[in-house]
This record gives sequence, structure tokens and C-alpha cells, in this order.
Amino acid sequence: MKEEERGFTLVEMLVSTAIMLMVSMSVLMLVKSSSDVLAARMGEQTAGIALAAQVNRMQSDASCADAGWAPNPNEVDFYSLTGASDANASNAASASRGGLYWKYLYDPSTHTVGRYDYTPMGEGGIRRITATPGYAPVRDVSSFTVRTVTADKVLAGVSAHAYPVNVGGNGVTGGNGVTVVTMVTPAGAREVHLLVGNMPSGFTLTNAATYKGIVYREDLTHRYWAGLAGKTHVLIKGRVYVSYDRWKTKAPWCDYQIYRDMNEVFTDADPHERPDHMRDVCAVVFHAPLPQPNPDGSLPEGVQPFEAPDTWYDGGVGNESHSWFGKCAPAIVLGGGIGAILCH
Amino acid sequence: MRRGEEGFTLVEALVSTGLLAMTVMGFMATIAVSLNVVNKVKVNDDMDVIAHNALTDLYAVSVYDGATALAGRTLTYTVKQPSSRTGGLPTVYTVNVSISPAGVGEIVASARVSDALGHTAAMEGILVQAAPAPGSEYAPGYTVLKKPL
Repeated sequence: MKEEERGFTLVEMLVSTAIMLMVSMSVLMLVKSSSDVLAARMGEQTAGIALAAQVNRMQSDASCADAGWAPNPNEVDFYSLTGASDANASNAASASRGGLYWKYLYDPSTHTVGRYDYTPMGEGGIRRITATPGYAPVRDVSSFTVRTVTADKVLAGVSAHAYPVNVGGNGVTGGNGVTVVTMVTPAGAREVHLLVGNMPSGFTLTNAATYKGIVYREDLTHRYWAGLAGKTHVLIKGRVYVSYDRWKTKAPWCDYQIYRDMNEVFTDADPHERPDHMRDVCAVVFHAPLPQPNPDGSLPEGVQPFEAPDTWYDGGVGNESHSWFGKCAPAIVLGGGIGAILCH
Repeated sequence: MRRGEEGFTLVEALVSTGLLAMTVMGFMATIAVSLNVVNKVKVNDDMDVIAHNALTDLYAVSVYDGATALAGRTLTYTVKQPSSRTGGLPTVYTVNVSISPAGVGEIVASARVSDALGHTAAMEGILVQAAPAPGSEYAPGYTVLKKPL
């Protein structure tokens, strides 16, 4: 065999095969990693389309709504006044108001953002919440927060007044405040600013405050002289609140005691327990100054969010029980029987 | 040596290696272009929303107060868009809003958003004052309003 016709040696074969394997593996790994990155980015793009659609939908909702607000950090609500029957009547006062009421709600357990409609149901407009038909919830939302920024704090260095506008009903407040929604999905994070587009061209002031009062009956019935004697003791107290925004917020005005009689039987038909009477007592009897809104529209210190409108009642009756023993124990310790007699 | 059993010439080796390299480069370039397109869509979406937010904010401060005092002004600020990845750095965008007067009670606002890589997005809107400031018509302090039903 001539020199140039000989075959490859074993060493040459092994080396060349190893080199080929390494090159092939490198190329395959390169292709795989590139494909993985591309697939991930394509997935993000798909999620991005859903995110962009959600942003567009909320912007569109805000532009046609009369009110938009954040009742809690996981929810943004919208209200639009229409001629239809009221969809947000939570009490008799707002039952005659027509409109559509809907919201986007984040569910942290499923990481989804769904859209829901409020529909009226039954006497008094009790609300029913149903998922909006045809709306596919946004999935894989790792974070969703909503907050409201008043117009005077929207742009640094720009002076503006904050004008919350109540369009009637609990919490249905629009105006020039900006609702900021932040969503985080695999496609990225979006912060979208929402401003209700249907700004009123005329205003009606609601500075005429509305008043509500709660009447409490304190049952102080107790026994003394080692239980040989007893006394029925009922204390009626009134507590009056004032609101300027239809009970979205409220401020305490005054507390007072209506009467304190032995064996008094409380009746809610008593004219002294009517809210109007409570207002007169605060303003006339106690000369308590009416809490006024601050220049920026906010209510003074002590105002609490009105969180449970369904539990509110006008001139209703509550009970507060107090321990007679706890109240009179010091008097008994110090004064014995005489202290017990005096402590009632 | 018989014909057909000779080795490759230097030119043949260079050409074949070059072809292989060009194929790999072409593949990599395709991947890079695809990633760039995807990223660009994301950045454009980001900047569009930020520009829209800028006009929304400007409308909020001018819808009742008017924007006469703002006409001719330029507002510049930065927006940090949080990362969707845990521990990821936020993307910083610069927002430039210029305001010019239009008709009575109207302004034209132009928002231009840019990032450090030179991507830009622009949006322009005509903002109309919806109502006069209540404080100019009513007693001060009475700022909780109600829309007529």
C-alpha cells in the first residue's frame, strides 16, 4: 500500500470524532438556548397583548364613566349615569338613581383580574355581583394595586385644586382625582392613570351637610345589697355624625345623653330620638360647632371612612352593656355598704 | 496520489469555513432581530402608556382650574417602570411635556417619552377645560361637589 493511500489511524479517528462531537454539541446548545429565549419572549409578548388590552379597556372605561374610585387596593370601580334602573342602589336614598356600576377586582389567590357587573336584585336595590359575560380574566398577575391621587398632588410643581365630585350614592365619587392602577405580569409592569372623562359642566354644592344619629340604650340594670335588691336603670345616649359626601366619609359631631329614668322603656317612636332632634341638640343645646370641610375638600380630623353602609341605621337602637360590678367595685372597696348604696 | 484522493486546498477550506460561519451568524442575527422586535414592542407599549398617563395627569390638573398659567411651560420628569422580574431593575423613562395655548379654555399638550437607549414615543392631545373652578364662583372651603342628576 502506498503511503498516500493508507487509512486513518485509531488516534486520528478518535480525535476527529471528539472534535466533531464538541462542535455539534456547541451548535445544538446554542440553538436550544436561543430558541428558549425566543420562546420565552414570545410568551411575554402574548401576555403583553393581554396586558395592553386590559390597559386599553380600563382607559376606555374611565373615559366614559362619571365616577371612578378605589374602594380598596385590590379593586377599581366605575359608575356611569344612565336612564336605566339603578344598578348601585344600596339604600333607599339612592334607589331612584339610574346607572351602570362595574369593577375590576384582583384575586390574589388565583392571580387573576376579573371584571364584574353590579346588577340590582330585590327590594331596596340589594346588589348582586356577577362576572361580566365574555370577559376573559387577565391571568398570571403577580401584583395589582389601586390608589387614588388627588389632583393637587398629581404633577409636582403644578398648582391645582382637588374637586371630588359625588354623583350620588355611597362611594360613587369622581371628579379630577386620578386613579392609579399598577399591574405586574410576566409581560412586564404597567402603571396606568385613569381619569373619569365625563366631567360635569355645572356643579351643585353639597355643603348642606346631612346628619345621622345612632341611639344607644345602655342597660345598667343591677342588683345590690348582696342581691336582695335591684334596680332597673336605662340610659339612652345619642351619637350624631355629619357627612358632606353622602356618607362616603363622616365626621363625629356630638354625643349626648337623652334621658335617664328608672324603669324607662325605650321606644323608637319617641320623637326625641329622631335625627332632626339630634341635630338640634348638637347645634342648639350644646352649641357644638358643625365640622366643616377643609379648603382642600377633605373633612377634618377624626373623619373615618364609612366602610359599612349597610349597617347604618337612622334613629335605630343599639345596646351597650356595662358591668355594674366593674363600675362600683372601687366604691364598695372604699365605702363598703354605703359605697354600694351610693353607686347607682 | 490518484485524483479524488487529494486533500482540500486552502481556498476550499477557507470558503467552506466561511460559509459555515455565515450560516451560524445568519441564525444568530435572526434570533437577535426577533428579540429586538419583541423588546421594541414592549418598550413602545411602555412609552405609549406613560405618554397617555402624562396627558391624563395634565387633564386632571386643568379640567377645572384651566391651564392658562401652564401655557408655554415645559414639564420634565422621570418615570420608573418596575421590572416584572424579581429583583429586576426598573426601566427609567424621561417624560417631557410641552404646553401651548389653543382656543378659549383649551391647550395643546405634547408628551414625549424617551429611554436611555434612544427609543422615543410621542403623543399629543387637546385638553379642554370642562368647568370653571368652583372656588371662583362659590365661597371658599365648599369644595365637595355634586354632579347635577
